[in-house]
Amino acid sequence: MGIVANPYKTTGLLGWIDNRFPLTKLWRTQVAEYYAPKNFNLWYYFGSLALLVLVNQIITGIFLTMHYQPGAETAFDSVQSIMRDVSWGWLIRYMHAMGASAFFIVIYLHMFRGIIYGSHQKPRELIWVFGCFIFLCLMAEAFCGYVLPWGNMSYWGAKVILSLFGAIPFVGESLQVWIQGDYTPAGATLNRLFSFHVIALPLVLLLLVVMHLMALHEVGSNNPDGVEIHDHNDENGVPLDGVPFHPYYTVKDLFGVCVFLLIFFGLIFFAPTGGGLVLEADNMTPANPLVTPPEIHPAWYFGVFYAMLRSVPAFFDTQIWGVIVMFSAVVILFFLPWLDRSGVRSIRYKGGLFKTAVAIFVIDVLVLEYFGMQGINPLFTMITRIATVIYFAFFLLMPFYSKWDKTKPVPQRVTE
Amino acid sequence: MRTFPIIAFACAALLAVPQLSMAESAELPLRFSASPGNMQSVRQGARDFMNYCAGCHTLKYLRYNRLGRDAGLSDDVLTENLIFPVGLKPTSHVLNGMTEQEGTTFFGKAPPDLSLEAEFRGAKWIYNYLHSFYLDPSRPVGVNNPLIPNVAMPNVLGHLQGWQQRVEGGHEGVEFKRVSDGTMTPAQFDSFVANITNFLAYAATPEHHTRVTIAPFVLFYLLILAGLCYLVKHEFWKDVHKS
Repeated sequence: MGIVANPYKTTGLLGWIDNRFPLTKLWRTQVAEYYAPKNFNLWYYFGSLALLVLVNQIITGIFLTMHYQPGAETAFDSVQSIMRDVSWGWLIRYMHAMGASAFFIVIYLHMFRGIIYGSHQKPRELIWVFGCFIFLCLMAEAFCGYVLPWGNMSYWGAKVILSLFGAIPFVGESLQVWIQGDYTPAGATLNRLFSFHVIALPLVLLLLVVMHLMALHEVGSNNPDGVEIHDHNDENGVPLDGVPFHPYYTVKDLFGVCVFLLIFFGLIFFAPTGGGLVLEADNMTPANPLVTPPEIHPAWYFGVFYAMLRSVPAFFDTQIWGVIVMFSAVVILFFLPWLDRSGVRSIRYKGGLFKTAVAIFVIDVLVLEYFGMQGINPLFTMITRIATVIYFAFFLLMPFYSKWDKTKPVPQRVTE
Repeated sequence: MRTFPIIAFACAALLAVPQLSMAESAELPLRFSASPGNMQSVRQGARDFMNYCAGCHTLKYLRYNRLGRDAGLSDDVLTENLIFPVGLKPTSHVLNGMTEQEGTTFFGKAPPDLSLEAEFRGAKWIYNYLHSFYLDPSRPVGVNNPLIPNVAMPNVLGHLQGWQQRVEGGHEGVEFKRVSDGTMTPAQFDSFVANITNFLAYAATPEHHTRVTIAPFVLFYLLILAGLCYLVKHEFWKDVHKS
């Protein structure tokens, strides 16, 4: 196929650009003539909202970086200076902190949407896999960011998470010291986490988001009915059940953005610490290696994974098993497209078996989240152990129950 | 829209987590809710803080003139009434004359900076703490406090509150019996401590006033914008729903 410059024969300034850069082509193929199913429901707002929060994090992050001073002696003070001396610094910081939590809420709902409507199934496996990489990257990004204010929870959180590397047999201890740049989390650690947080991981994150969207626009969006809209086109090849992304979904997503911002700013103005979930009281005092907070637990969005980490007992003289289980809980998400053997995509046409499994999974995740944020006691540990087994069972048994499930007939066209 | 109840449930469940995990602390029997936006109380609290607390404690993140700007106090008023240590200017942070070394020598532990105390321990904690000193001859400065057992801080407000002894029993196992009257009535002392606590709540979140003042404007704007966006969306989607 030869390259045709300016296939739309635009003229004037736009024509000059189109002769040299596919501006009109990109606009038409990716936005104005990118056909999305017309039956998107509430769940489909979270993709565009994730993009909005990403932009929020980048812009507020740029301004925070102008005033933040990494370093064990300066970090905590500079955050307070942002909160008090920098014009509107408090708003920028609250937007960034609340944005981190919003990012995870939006992403978790976005992932759940994918699971219930089968958006990971063929031919969208790579969209899902890129999405999982985004999630992994986001977790690393959030951890690095959490350490930067260098409050006492930042310090002890870093100590716990970085000590996970120390649990690796034989090389663990030296690896941990190498990563930290010191024997405990210190100024050197803070500076490298800062570097990861503001440049390394955001670059990877942006690249992954572009790949996620490119893969999506290559195969087209799934929808709540899980039917392929491109199977029924009109004489011009336009899907009968599709609408151009612009203006239909741009105006719809704009409404979603407004509702999101209402909640987002409502929280920032009236509950900026999110009841201790977004900014914790224990982090309002500078890092102190000599004073351990009464309870060390991670930010709320890691509660599920932290619960699993703690629930696994040490044996053969090593703690590595908990670390393996926790990482497996993320890694197993990548394999979802191949674990799901169901003949239909959407939960609307799946049978009771799959619906029950999803319901149990949702309750299970909420249980893990809750107990991940609680102190340790034998009963809680037993509950989280059971919940961990159920979490993995949801995925590992999926090839069986998704196959045995009695599905309903899928309509040819979308239903609403 | 049948998915809405599921999302609503998930959101409710997420919101329930902090409620459950922040179970009421057993050690704070006195109810108190801080008003960092009550500037009259903050002004009085600032005055009392400078008189009773600032000899030892610093507020190293708060500038005098920031307090002045927020509480409506001119630089002259600040200089004459609130800035005691020599050499400090209205633009200085609230720093006292006691060094960390001196604090350690005098009390065994340097008095902590209180800039963020109301966020770190909570305003309710401060309010309860200042009420809970009791006579304990076994301690070097003669007092103790159930909220920080074997506390190093002397009871600076004892002569205002009146001295009290701890008796076993009561709601949380801690109860006090007054053994001598102070110069203030209990009601006066409550409001005195409330002012100081409000001042510390202000010092921890000086942006509070701006935050809650601009909130209605921003949210109202977003509400109108959401309404307009909905109408635009409705207009565009009319023909899709028709077909």
